[in-house]
Amino acid sequence: MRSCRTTDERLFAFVDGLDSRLDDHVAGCDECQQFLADLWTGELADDLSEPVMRTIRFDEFLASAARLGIDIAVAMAKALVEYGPQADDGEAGE
Amino acid sequence: MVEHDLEAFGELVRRHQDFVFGAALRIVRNPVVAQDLAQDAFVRAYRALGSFEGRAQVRSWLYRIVTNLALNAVTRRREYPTDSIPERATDSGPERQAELAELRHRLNDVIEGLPENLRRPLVLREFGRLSYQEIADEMDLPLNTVRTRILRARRAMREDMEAWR
Repeated sequence: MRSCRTTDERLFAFVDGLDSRLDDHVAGCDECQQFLADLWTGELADDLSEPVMRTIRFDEFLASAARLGIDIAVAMAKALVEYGPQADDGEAGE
Repeated sequence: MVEHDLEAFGELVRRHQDFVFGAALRIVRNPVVAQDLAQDAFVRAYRALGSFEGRAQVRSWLYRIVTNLALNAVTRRREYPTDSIPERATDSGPERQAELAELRHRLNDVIEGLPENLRRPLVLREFGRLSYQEIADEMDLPLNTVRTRILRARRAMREDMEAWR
Protein backbone atom coordinates (compact mmCIF):
# COMPACT_ATOMS: atom_id res chain seq x y z
CA MET A 1 0.00 0.00 0.00
CA ARG A 2 1.35 3.41 -0.86
CA SER A 3 2.11 5.81 1.95
CA CYS A 4 -0.59 8.13 0.54
CA ARG A 5 -3.06 5.17 0.76
CA THR A 6 -4.27 5.66 -2.80
CA THR A 7 -5.38 2.27 -4.09
CA ASP A 8 -4.59 0.74 -7.45
CA GLU A 9 -8.31 0.75 -8.24
CA ARG A 10 -8.56 4.49 -7.73
CA LEU A 11 -5.56 5.03 -9.95
CA PHE A 12 -7.05 2.80 -12.64
CA ALA A 13 -10.26 4.82 -12.43
CA PHE A 14 -8.17 7.98 -12.66
CA VAL A 15 -6.39 6.66 -15.76
CA ASP A 16 -9.71 5.71 -17.32
CA GLY A 17 -11.04 9.22 -16.77
CA LEU A 18 -13.61 8.06 -14.24
CA ASP A 19 -12.14 9.85 -11.25
CA SER A 20 -10.52 13.23 -11.82
CA ARG A 21 -10.31 14.09 -8.12
CA LEU A 22 -6.83 12.61 -7.93
CA ASP A 23 -5.37 15.11 -10.36
CA ASP A 24 -3.85 17.47 -7.80
CA HIS A 25 -2.70 14.56 -5.66
CA VAL A 26 -0.98 12.78 -8.56
CA ALA A 27 0.76 16.00 -9.54
CA GLY A 28 2.57 15.96 -6.22
CA CYS A 29 2.83 12.27 -5.29
CA ASP A 30 5.95 10.45 -6.40
CA GLU A 31 4.60 7.00 -5.55
CA CYS A 32 1.43 7.46 -7.59
CA GLN A 33 3.43 8.92 -10.45
CA GLN A 34 5.72 5.90 -10.38
CA PHE A 35 2.71 3.58 -10.57
CA LEU A 36 1.41 5.51 -13.57
CA ALA A 37 4.87 5.63 -15.14
CA ASP A 38 5.08 1.83 -14.86
CA LEU A 39 1.58 1.47 -16.25
CA TRP A 40 2.24 3.74 -19.21
CA THR A 41 5.64 2.29 -20.06
CA GLY A 42 5.61 1.22 -23.70
CA GLU A 43 2.37 3.03 -24.53
CA LEU A 44 4.08 5.64 -26.68
CA ALA A 45 4.72 4.29 -30.17
CA ASP A 46 7.44 6.75 -31.18
CA ASP A 47 10.56 8.23 -29.61
CA LEU A 48 9.88 11.94 -29.15
CA SER A 49 13.44 12.98 -28.31
CA GLU A 50 14.55 13.67 -31.90
CA PRO A 51 11.48 15.69 -32.95
CA VAL A 52 11.66 17.64 -29.67
CA MET A 53 15.34 18.46 -30.14
CA ARG A 54 14.73 19.32 -33.79
CA THR A 55 12.01 21.79 -32.78
CA ILE A 56 14.24 23.34 -30.13
CA ARG A 57 17.15 23.68 -32.57
CA PHE A 58 14.85 25.25 -35.17
CA ASP A 59 13.47 27.70 -32.62
CA GLU A 60 17.05 28.63 -31.68
CA PHE A 61 17.88 29.11 -35.35
CA LEU A 62 14.90 31.42 -35.82
CA ALA A 63 15.89 33.40 -32.73
CA SER A 64 19.46 33.70 -34.01
CA ALA A 65 18.25 34.79 -37.44
CA ALA A 66 16.03 37.40 -35.82
CA ARG A 67 18.97 38.69 -33.76
CA LEU A 68 21.12 38.73 -36.89
CA GLY A 69 18.42 40.62 -38.71
CA ILE A 70 18.33 43.27 -35.98
CA ASP A 71 22.13 43.52 -35.96
CA ILE A 72 22.18 44.01 -39.72
CA ALA A 73 19.46 46.66 -39.52
CA VAL A 74 21.43 48.53 -36.83
CA ALA A 75 24.66 48.31 -38.90
CA MET A 76 22.85 49.59 -42.00
CA ALA A 77 21.35 52.48 -40.05
CA LYS A 78 24.78 53.46 -38.71
CA ALA A 79 26.31 53.24 -42.19
CA LEU A 80 23.55 55.44 -43.55
CA VAL A 81 24.23 58.05 -40.89
CA GLU A 82 27.98 58.04 -41.49
CA TYR A 83 28.15 57.60 -45.22
CA GLY A 84 24.72 58.50 -46.56
CA PRO A 85 23.54 61.71 -48.24
CA GLN A 86 22.75 63.36 -44.88
CA ALA A 87 26.36 62.75 -43.78
CA ASP A 88 27.66 64.63 -46.90
CA ASP A 89 25.35 67.55 -46.10
CA GLY A 90 26.64 67.64 -42.54
CA GLU A 91 30.32 67.70 -43.57
CA ALA A 92 29.65 70.41 -46.13
CA GLY A 93 28.31 72.62 -43.39
CA GLU A 94 31.52 72.47 -41.32
CA MET B 1 22.52 26.95 -26.50
CA VAL B 2 25.10 24.35 -25.62
CA GLU B 3 24.68 21.19 -27.67
CA HIS B 4 25.54 18.81 -24.85
CA ASP B 5 22.80 20.44 -22.73
CA LEU B 6 20.34 19.66 -25.49
CA GLU B 7 21.56 16.06 -25.65
CA ALA B 8 21.03 15.80 -21.90
CA PHE B 9 17.53 17.16 -22.37
CA GLY B 10 16.98 14.54 -25.04
CA GLU B 11 17.83 11.91 -22.46
CA LEU B 12 15.28 13.48 -20.12
CA VAL B 13 12.69 13.26 -22.89
CA ARG B 14 13.39 9.58 -23.41
CA ARG B 15 13.16 8.92 -19.68
CA HIS B 16 9.78 10.60 -19.19
CA GLN B 17 8.06 10.52 -22.57
CA ASP B 18 5.81 7.52 -21.85
CA PHE B 19 4.63 9.11 -18.62
CA VAL B 20 3.99 12.50 -20.26
CA PHE B 21 2.20 10.82 -23.17
CA GLY B 22 0.05 8.78 -20.78
CA ALA B 23 -0.86 11.87 -18.79
CA ALA B 24 -1.97 13.63 -21.98
CA LEU B 25 -3.82 10.60 -23.34
CA ARG B 26 -5.76 10.25 -20.08
CA ILE B 27 -7.33 13.64 -20.78
CA VAL B 28 -7.62 13.95 -24.55
CA ARG B 29 -8.34 10.26 -25.33
CA ASN B 30 -6.71 10.53 -28.73
CA PRO B 31 -3.20 9.08 -29.15
CA VAL B 32 -2.26 11.35 -32.06
CA VAL B 33 -3.29 14.48 -30.16
CA ALA B 34 -1.65 13.13 -26.99
CA GLN B 35 1.64 12.60 -28.81
CA ASP B 36 1.57 16.14 -30.19
CA LEU B 37 0.81 17.50 -26.74
CA ALA B 38 3.61 15.48 -25.18
CA GLN B 39 6.05 16.84 -27.72
CA ASP B 40 4.81 20.37 -27.13
CA ALA B 41 5.11 19.90 -23.37
CA PHE B 42 8.79 18.96 -23.64
CA VAL B 43 9.56 21.92 -25.90
CA ARG B 44 7.85 24.27 -23.45
CA ALA B 45 9.68 22.65 -20.57
CA TYR B 46 13.02 23.27 -22.30
CA ARG B 47 12.13 26.93 -22.83
CA ALA B 48 11.11 27.23 -19.17
CA LEU B 49 14.16 25.45 -17.75
CA GLY B 50 15.40 28.71 -16.39
CA SER B 51 12.30 29.03 -14.22
CA PHE B 52 12.47 25.45 -12.94
CA GLU B 53 14.11 25.93 -9.61
CA GLY B 54 14.37 22.25 -8.76
CA ARG B 55 12.09 22.42 -5.75
CA ALA B 56 9.74 19.89 -7.33
CA GLN B 57 10.59 16.66 -9.10
CA VAL B 58 11.09 16.99 -12.84
CA ARG B 59 8.36 14.45 -13.47
CA SER B 60 5.83 16.45 -11.37
CA TRP B 61 6.78 19.59 -13.26
CA LEU B 62 6.34 17.88 -16.64
CA TYR B 63 3.03 16.42 -15.44
CA ARG B 64 1.67 19.89 -14.67
CA ILE B 65 2.84 21.28 -18.01
CA VAL B 66 1.27 18.53 -20.10
CA THR B 67 -1.92 18.44 -18.01
CA ASN B 68 -2.47 22.15 -18.57
CA LEU B 69 -1.86 21.75 -22.29
CA ALA B 70 -4.24 18.80 -22.50
CA LEU B 71 -7.00 20.55 -20.57
CA ASN B 72 -6.66 23.58 -22.85
CA ALA B 73 -6.85 21.29 -25.87
CA VAL B 74 -10.01 19.66 -24.54
CA THR B 75 -11.59 23.03 -23.86
CA ARG B 76 -10.77 24.12 -27.39
CA ARG B 77 -11.78 20.93 -29.17
CA ARG B 78 -14.56 19.67 -26.86
CA GLU B 79 -13.37 16.08 -27.21
CA TYR B 80 -13.87 14.99 -23.66
CA PRO B 81 -15.09 11.39 -23.75
CA THR B 82 -18.23 9.98 -22.28
CA ASP B 83 -17.42 6.68 -20.66
CA SER B 84 -20.81 5.87 -19.33
CA ILE B 85 -23.31 3.94 -21.36
CA PRO B 86 -26.22 6.33 -21.88
CA GLU B 87 -29.45 5.71 -20.07
CA ARG B 88 -32.13 5.05 -22.63
CA ALA B 89 -34.88 4.53 -20.11
CA THR B 90 -35.14 5.52 -16.49
CA ASP B 91 -37.72 3.01 -15.31
CA SER B 92 -37.20 -0.67 -14.54
CA GLY B 93 -40.01 -1.91 -16.76
CA PRO B 94 -39.85 -4.53 -19.50
CA GLU B 95 -38.16 -2.20 -21.96
CA ARG B 96 -35.38 -1.47 -19.51
CA GLN B 97 -34.99 -5.14 -18.66
CA ALA B 98 -34.69 -5.96 -22.33
CA GLU B 99 -32.03 -3.30 -22.74
CA LEU B 100 -30.09 -4.66 -19.79
CA ALA B 101 -30.29 -8.18 -21.18
CA GLU B 102 -29.03 -6.94 -24.52
CA LEU B 103 -26.21 -5.10 -22.75
CA ARG B 104 -25.20 -8.20 -20.79
CA HIS B 105 -25.20 -10.22 -23.98
CA ARG B 106 -23.07 -7.66 -25.73
CA LEU B 107 -20.64 -7.44 -22.82
CA ASN B 108 -20.29 -11.19 -22.86
CA ASP B 109 -19.49 -11.14 -26.59
CA VAL B 110 -16.96 -8.36 -26.08
CA ILE B 111 -15.21 -10.22 -23.28
CA GLU B 112 -15.16 -13.43 -25.29
CA GLY B 113 -13.65 -11.48 -28.17
CA LEU B 114 -10.66 -10.35 -26.17
CA PRO B 115 -7.33 -12.06 -26.74
CA GLU B 116 -6.69 -14.76 -24.18
CA ASN B 117 -3.77 -12.91 -22.59
CA LEU B 118 -6.09 -9.99 -21.84
CA ARG B 119 -9.33 -11.87 -21.14
CA ARG B 120 -7.97 -14.18 -18.48
CA PRO B 121 -6.55 -11.54 -16.09
CA LEU B 122 -9.66 -9.40 -16.63
CA VAL B 123 -11.99 -12.27 -15.76
CA LEU B 124 -9.93 -13.22 -12.73
CA ARG B 125 -10.08 -9.64 -11.53
CA GLU B 126 -13.66 -8.67 -12.35
CA PHE B 127 -15.41 -11.98 -11.69
CA GLY B 128 -12.97 -13.93 -9.57
CA ARG B 129 -12.24 -10.83 -7.43
CA LEU B 130 -8.61 -11.84 -7.17
CA SER B 131 -6.07 -9.22 -6.22
CA TYR B 132 -3.49 -8.15 -8.78
CA GLN B 133 -0.82 -10.04 -6.87
CA GLU B 134 -2.96 -13.19 -6.77
CA ILE B 135 -3.50 -12.95 -10.50
CA ALA B 136 0.23 -12.43 -11.03
CA ASP B 137 0.93 -15.55 -8.96
CA GLU B 138 -1.78 -17.55 -10.73
CA MET B 139 -0.56 -16.62 -14.19
CA ASP B 140 3.12 -16.50 -13.29
CA LEU B 141 3.48 -12.94 -14.57
CA PRO B 142 5.06 -9.78 -13.17
CA LEU B 143 2.62 -7.61 -11.24
CA ASN B 144 2.88 -4.65 -13.60
CA THR B 145 2.25 -6.89 -16.59
CA VAL B 146 -1.02 -7.94 -14.98
CA ARG B 147 -1.95 -4.32 -14.33
CA THR B 148 -1.16 -3.31 -17.90
CA ARG B 149 -3.10 -6.20 -19.42
CA ILE B 150 -6.18 -5.47 -17.34
CA LEU B 151 -5.99 -1.81 -18.33
CA ARG B 152 -5.71 -2.76 -22.00
CA ALA B 153 -8.59 -5.21 -21.69
CA ARG B 154 -10.80 -2.50 -20.17
CA ARG B 155 -9.85 -0.07 -22.91
CA ALA B 156 -10.60 -2.62 -25.63
CA MET B 157 -13.95 -3.36 -24.03
CA ARG B 158 -14.78 0.33 -23.82
CA GLU B 159 -13.93 0.87 -27.48
CA ASP B 160 -16.04 -2.13 -28.50
CA MET B 161 -18.97 -0.98 -26.38
CA GLU B 162 -18.78 2.57 -27.74
CA ALA B 163 -18.79 1.22 -31.29
CA TRP B 164 -21.83 -0.88 -30.40
CA ARG B 165 -23.70 2.15 -29.02
